[in-house]
Amino acid sequence: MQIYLFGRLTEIAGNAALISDAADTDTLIKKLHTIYPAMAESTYVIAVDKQVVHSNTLLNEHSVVALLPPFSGG
Amino acid sequence: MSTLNSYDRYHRQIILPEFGEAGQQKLLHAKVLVAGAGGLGCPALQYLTAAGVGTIGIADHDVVTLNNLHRQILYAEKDIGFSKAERAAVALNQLNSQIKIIPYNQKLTTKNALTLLKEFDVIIDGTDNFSTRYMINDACVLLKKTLVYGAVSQFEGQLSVFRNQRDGDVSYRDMFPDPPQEADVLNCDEAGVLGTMPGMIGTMMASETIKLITGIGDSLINQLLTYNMLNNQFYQLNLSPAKHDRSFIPENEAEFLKINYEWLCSTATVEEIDIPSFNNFIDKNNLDVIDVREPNELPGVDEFPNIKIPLNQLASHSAEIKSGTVITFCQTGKRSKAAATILKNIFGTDKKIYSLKGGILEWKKSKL
Repeated sequence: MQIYLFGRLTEIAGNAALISDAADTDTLIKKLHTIYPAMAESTYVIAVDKQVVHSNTLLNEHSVVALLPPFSGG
Repeated sequence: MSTLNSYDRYHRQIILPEFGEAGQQKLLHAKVLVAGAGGLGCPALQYLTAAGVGTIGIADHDVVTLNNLHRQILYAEKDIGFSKAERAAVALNQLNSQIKIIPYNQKLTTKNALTLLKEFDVIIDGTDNFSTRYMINDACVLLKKTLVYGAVSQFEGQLSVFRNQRDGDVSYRDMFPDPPQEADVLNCDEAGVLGTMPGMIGTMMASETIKLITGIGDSLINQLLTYNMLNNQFYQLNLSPAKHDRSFIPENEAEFLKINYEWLCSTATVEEIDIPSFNNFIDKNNLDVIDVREPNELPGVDEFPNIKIPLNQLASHSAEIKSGTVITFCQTGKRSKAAATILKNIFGTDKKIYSLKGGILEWKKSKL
């Protein structure tokens, strides 16, 4: 599994691939929040295989997960 | 100026087979409002003016400052201290005197936004704060106006088109339903930005606008494009409607006028309650304690009565909250602050609304 982080999330967790096993997005997010508590306080949208998801989504070893925070700068 | 000169001016784009004279005519009849004449707005304005968009509105209440000039390259040193909207209009008129450029040297508010937006076909959001961005988004959804969205942070940018015309069209609220607190996300003033970054995204916003108006190419409707300048990566995602998140958007103009967007994005007015005060409250009547965490978040709370409404469902489930005093809590006290803000926005002064400081983690710790 690949995890892409954007914006400030890269500062929180670094740019490296993070976790390779999680059955679904809820599990993945819970794990990430445990490892990086600052992430739990961040706003972001979750995308699986380039599709933004709004509810728990199954993952497999080929899944690409992206976490994107909002930007306000103009 | 004669038609011949117009033809000459736009010749290089008219000879594009997809664009042609028909495309040029569409641009000439189009009305575009650029909200925010800053890092994103400047390049967007310059290209739209050069391309011959017939009517361009510029809404900005700010003045040019020296630290704008590294990225807002429409302005010159002599413009420092003067209205951005007005100086931009002067510079753009020099670039193209054949089109109509209307400066609005005023802050966009709920009071003037709908009236102003109604005058235009496409709205470009180049503003620099969440409260204005959410307001513009909601106004565009209400008015069914297409919104070209762009935002930058440091070396990264985001771009999308919210068409707001058909069922299934997504808006900014489908990505980020509830406004983040301004303090949580750094803007360019705080985090810094390289001048070419908004230059690129603003230019792409102009491209998307021209594509929309002339009907060429594939638009970023229902898609989000991100660009990272440091590693040259583009990343394109499909967006999908988040049904319950629609409930955040005011249903009509009267409701829109009632929303205080600045309040929605500021933590300043949310009252936090500390653990000893909270413990005094727990046994009281006429109190609703709301757990705004997601259903599966731990630790569970059964020590006192509480209602579970995740943050992103709060607005649509606010009817479940009946008591006069409301205390929201989450893991650490941050989301509950946002929740309290949402509830304040709904209930105004009808209810006393607090957020539990330090969240349930601190509370549990105090009980050990």
